[in-house]
Amino acid sequence: MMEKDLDDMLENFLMDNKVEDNGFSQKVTEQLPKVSSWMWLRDVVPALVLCVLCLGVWHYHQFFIQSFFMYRAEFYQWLSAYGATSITISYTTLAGIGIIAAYFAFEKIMHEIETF
Amino acid sequence: MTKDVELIARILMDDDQQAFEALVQGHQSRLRAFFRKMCGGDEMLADDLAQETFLKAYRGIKNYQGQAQFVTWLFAIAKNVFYEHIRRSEAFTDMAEENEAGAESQQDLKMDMAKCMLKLEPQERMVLTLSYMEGLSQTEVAELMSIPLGTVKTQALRAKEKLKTLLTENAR
Repeated sequence: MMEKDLDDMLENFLMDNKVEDNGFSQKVTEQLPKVSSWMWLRDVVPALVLCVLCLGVWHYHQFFIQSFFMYRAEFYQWLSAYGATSITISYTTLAGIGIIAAYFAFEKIMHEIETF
Repeated sequence: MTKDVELIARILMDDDQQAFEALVQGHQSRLRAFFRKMCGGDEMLADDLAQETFLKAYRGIKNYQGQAQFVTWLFAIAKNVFYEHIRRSEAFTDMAEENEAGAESQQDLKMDMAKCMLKLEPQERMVLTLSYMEGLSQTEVAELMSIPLGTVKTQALRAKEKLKTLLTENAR
């Protein structure tokens, strides 16, 4: 095969971008109500998660700041004054991780539903 | 371009699904042709990926800033959909083998091309296909693939050479 023939063949193949619609656009548009009915969740859920996180940070900000800067003894003293224990901290951390994991799981499930 | 902007505005303001259908009609040909080349001529798979791309575009249309052409933005989504498909589908290499077997019996030039295209690396295939799309400059290809312009040029050239070698071997 000649070099030029190959070049032409290749270019014709690559530049051939014509595909008849044959109802494709209509088929895609028919999927929209299904997508639209779930779309509000995509806006609301991240906003809710963000709100919960912000509330958590706002509520515990003093705790977080002090936990970074206080000596251990003072830290525990401060903790016990508030009636908190190391178990409380563990639960708070676990809850935080849980919320983030739930959010990612939700995203994954939503993706599967939408692309089903 | 102006027509796209008008249609997008109608979708954003009134959630006009007819406007979306018109947008799909305007871009389906190029997008489906792109996926067909990327999937070695598998029309069903290409159409599924094109549909997924359009639905993703619909969901994320409010994020379209209008700085780039709509088609560039659409192909950026298509690129992600394609890479996601490769990650998701362990059977991608099997698909290449199936198509290879089919092409032998058909002796069709297009199928030969498609078969050879599948032997290229996914990124090379994408650079080559996008570089030849109407309305997409190499700068836009570089931008949407997040790679330097020089890399686009080199990869397009290398992929073309590879494809020529594969086609010559095939013709023997």
